[in-house]
Amino acid sequence: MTRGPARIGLGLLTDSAQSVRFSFDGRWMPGLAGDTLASALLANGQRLIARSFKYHRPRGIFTCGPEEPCGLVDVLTPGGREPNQLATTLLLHDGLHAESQNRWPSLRVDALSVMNRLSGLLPAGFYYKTFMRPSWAWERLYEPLIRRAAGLGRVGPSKEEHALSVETVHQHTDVLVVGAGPAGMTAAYRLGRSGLRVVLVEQDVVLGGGSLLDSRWTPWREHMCTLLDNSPSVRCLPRTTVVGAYGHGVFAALETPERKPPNRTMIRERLRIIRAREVILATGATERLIAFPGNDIPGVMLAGAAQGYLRRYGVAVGREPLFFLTSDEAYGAVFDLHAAGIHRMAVVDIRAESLAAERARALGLDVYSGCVVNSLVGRNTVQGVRIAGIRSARQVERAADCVLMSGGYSPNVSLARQLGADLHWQDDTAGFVPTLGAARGRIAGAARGVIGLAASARDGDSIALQVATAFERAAAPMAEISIPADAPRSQCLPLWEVRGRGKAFVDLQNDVTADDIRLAHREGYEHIEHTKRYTTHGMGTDQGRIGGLVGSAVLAQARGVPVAAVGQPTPRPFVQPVPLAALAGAEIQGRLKPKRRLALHDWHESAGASFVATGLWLRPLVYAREPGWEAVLREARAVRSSVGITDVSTLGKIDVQGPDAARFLDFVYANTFSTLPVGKARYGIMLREDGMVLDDGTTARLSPEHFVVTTTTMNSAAVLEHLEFCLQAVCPELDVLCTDVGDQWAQFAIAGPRAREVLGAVITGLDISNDALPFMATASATIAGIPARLFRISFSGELGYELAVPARESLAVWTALLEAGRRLGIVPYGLDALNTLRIEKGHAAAPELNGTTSADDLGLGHLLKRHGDFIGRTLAQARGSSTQGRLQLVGVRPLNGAQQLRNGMQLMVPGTQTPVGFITSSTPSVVTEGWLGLALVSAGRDRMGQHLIGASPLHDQTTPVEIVRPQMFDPENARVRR
Amino acid sequence: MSVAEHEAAPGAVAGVVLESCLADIVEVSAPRGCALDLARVADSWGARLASHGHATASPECITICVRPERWLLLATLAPPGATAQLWHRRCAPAGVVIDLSSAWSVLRLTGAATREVLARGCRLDLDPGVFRDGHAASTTIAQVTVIVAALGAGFLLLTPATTSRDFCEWLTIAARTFGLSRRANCTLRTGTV
Repeated sequence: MTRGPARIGLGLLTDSAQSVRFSFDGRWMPGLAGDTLASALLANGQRLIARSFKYHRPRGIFTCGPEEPCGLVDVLTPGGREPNQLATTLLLHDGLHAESQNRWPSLRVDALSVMNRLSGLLPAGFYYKTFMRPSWAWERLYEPLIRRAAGLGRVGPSKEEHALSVETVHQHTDVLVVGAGPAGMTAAYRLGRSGLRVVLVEQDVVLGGGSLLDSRWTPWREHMCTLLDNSPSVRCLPRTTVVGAYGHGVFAALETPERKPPNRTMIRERLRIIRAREVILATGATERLIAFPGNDIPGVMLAGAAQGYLRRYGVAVGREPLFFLTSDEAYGAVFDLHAAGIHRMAVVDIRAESLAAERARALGLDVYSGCVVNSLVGRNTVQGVRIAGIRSARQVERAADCVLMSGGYSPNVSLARQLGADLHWQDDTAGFVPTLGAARGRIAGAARGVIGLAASARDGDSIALQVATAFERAAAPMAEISIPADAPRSQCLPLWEVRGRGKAFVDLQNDVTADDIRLAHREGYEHIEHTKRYTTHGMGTDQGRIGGLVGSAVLAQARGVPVAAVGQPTPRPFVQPVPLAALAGAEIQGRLKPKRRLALHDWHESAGASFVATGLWLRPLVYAREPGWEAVLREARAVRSSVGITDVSTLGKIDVQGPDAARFLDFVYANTFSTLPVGKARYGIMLREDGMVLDDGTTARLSPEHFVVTTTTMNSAAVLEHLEFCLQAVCPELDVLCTDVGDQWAQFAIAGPRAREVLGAVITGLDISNDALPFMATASATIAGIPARLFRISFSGELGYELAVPARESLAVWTALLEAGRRLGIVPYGLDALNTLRIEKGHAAAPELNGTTSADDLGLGHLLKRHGDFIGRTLAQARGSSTQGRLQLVGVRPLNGAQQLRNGMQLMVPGTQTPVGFITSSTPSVVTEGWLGLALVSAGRDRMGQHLIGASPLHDQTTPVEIVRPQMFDPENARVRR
Repeated sequence: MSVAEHEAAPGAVAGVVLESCLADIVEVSAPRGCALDLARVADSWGARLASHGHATASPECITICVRPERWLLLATLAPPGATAQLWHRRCAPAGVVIDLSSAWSVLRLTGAATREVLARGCRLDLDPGVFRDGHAASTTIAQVTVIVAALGAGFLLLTPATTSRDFCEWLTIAARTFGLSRRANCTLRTGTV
């Protein structure tokens, strides 16, 4: 048989005409398209799926959905190994390779199953109280061993570029409906009819929820799916789980789309960030387990899961099942399996009588009313059960190949709790139900304790009407759809635990037993939150969804209080595991942050530039790919000796216009700009309110009411923000407009003794002689036919010009300049050469403008205007900003010129160990041999000529240095004025 | 797997079409108290200044307003600086005109999946019932500043020129499941966009 021996019929989700093959632990098996790995394994009679987390006990499939605690597997793909995939939700595809976890050497023979025999040494919290002696052994022996033995799955290196297979989607809606069971589908349809935008999210691969398990509901479900598909304002999102509720209508949902070849749909995970004005939580209820000895043996599972495997996949989980039930609702599985031809079955019902039990008896089934399953027969799989009367001495042993239990149904309250819902005990369902203020959200159906599919559908409709009313929408006519009536039911009876010999688990994923809960209580962990953390109960990937309440009940019993007094641990996002890759989205590695590229980026790249990231910018560092200073010095020497050209487009540029522009600049700069003539530029420093230097740069006056401010590359955004803030909040009376024109203008610096010759060859309509365009002059010009702005300013200390051209036209201007300078040996120079030139010249830059330096520290105290106010004035002129002990900018040279200086080198007076300062910038000299640098040194200007020791402990280096003036090249500034 | 492999297969209908448009852009600002005068002046030259958060298209140009009393005027390409000079002459002294033609890249995104693609990075609600034809906003998509304007059958996207390459790469990735067709150097369509 190609479909597996336990496949007894057609499933709702499987395609019997399309078989696939997959392997589990190297064994190839057949399956059907639409199967999950779990259903296919069960169809093939594979019950042993995994070994448990702590005791390495044999485990099988326990549930039929995402609440599965045991069926975790590794999936091997060409892209790598993916651990901890849930077999119950992992869709089968041809060629799937899955491996069991947490076993060695094999699943059947696991050496670490010895842990089960040693369990007396490993009670809850054992690592807090055992393995304590000898003390040295914890770190060296015990902890490494425990860590090695613990954990599930193995993480393998991923060969896939995960960023391309995940994405984030922002979604807005009027109403988010979470859960597409009868309540959610009805609500979504009702709201869609009202014209509201609705997003209906369902974690299952198809819509229907609980209605999938009841054949009477099939017509209703199919009709409703058609109606929803045809509702233009309803967006249905199957395979999507809302994993977090964050308030203000923000929800996170994880979608795992079906992956179909070819490449058009290849998204693995899609994180949806949903913003909804209203939310309806129709999240349903989850069947819970009963803690009895051996309740984890392969072959034990939830009754609803067995029904799910039969209805969804046509798989019978056993031929001789025994049901262990506490409510009428769970009998649906009994009747379905019986109808499918499984007749050798029996029911153990803890209630003395019930309507459903009567129906079962009428079918000829053995029903043991008022009894419990005391223990199981079989070690690695179920072979039989021992049944005991609750109020009688009745004892029965009966053969069975699986035990299908149901301890009742717990409303799924995680999302409601995340929205702030209170929980109240409901006797009718023996569970906690949430109540939530309408302002935060609404809950519908089984999620708020409504019992029965028809009742849930009606409840969903009623809640939807409330929501539509809140949106002031009239009730729209609904299509007539017949709803099957709920069967009459008897009251359920809670049963949490059957005590006996052997381990009775309340948390199968973390191997937490009822005894562990009692131990935690004895040791003082009485609060459910403390118990959870001490025992790890409910801390697995399943979040204790099927046994969480059972743990609370066991604790309540130990404390001698009702379950309602114990409560449940606080659920927090995420309600199910979310791959980190899905959270990261596509913005990782090279796309972690955007890159700003110069208009001439491609030219620089083709010219062999190495780039350096400066903030978001990619700047040419040096036009060479090989490391070392040689290429840098070659570029810098060209500037000193002839001419060079560099791209300084990254400088911030702010257009300042208006009748009050000059007054405004006087206020935001420490020096005066209102006296600057039109056609001139001036260097300025801008202070923060605390008197420290914020930024520096040149400002040019283009007309009486029009200035262009340049900022440093790193501070351009901060300066613009500062100016906008000042205009809005500090001096709103000024009529000034500031506009960021940083991206509009490409800016090039041409520097060197022969710069004028190069520029003269391409400029038209402007006399650029020293007399006509002196140092710090500015003018409009046409360069290579392009309108441009010309500034005679210099950062290198050489005769220099900066010219600004519209970035779109920059290539034409740049190449014209290079062409014009070719006969003079013009070279493009990068950031390293620019830095070398400015250090030699003593110009402060980012390492010196570090936010802690005042104008006086940088030797710029003379720029502070004496009259008139400016930002930072009070504190800049306070004594503390210019006291002798402050770090002041100086130059440093090694006494032995060949010795290297390093940025960050600490400077000490010989014979002492206390630094008096540090080197901020260093470089080999362009014009002389050896190194030089800039430093911030305590009372630095009083130390001219003093010898200090430069120390770099990281490099195990000490270098004697001399303190010199910062202006180490052309201190008279004569070269820039030639 | 390279980005290119995700693009639409040959012959397949692309879900989105990304056009890089050649356009001149000027920013027109109203000095204090001049907004009404500026609007009148602009109107007389065929440029209807959009209200805040909106974009308008006229035969002369497209105007977008995402900052109070500041408008971006998009016009067809002219020689460098000519559009700015033209509008300076037209608007002075009621308006301050700054050439930003090189500062912004102009993209046009059309196709059935346009909103789906933008939703991969744009937090704004771009539903046609909410962000209607003629709406405009400044936002951040994929960490890049983007001005989004719904005009006609698609969206006009303005992004700083220095980050436009990154943004276009992001768009290509975001559109990979829908298929993306790219067209470069398209003429900006004013009037009915």
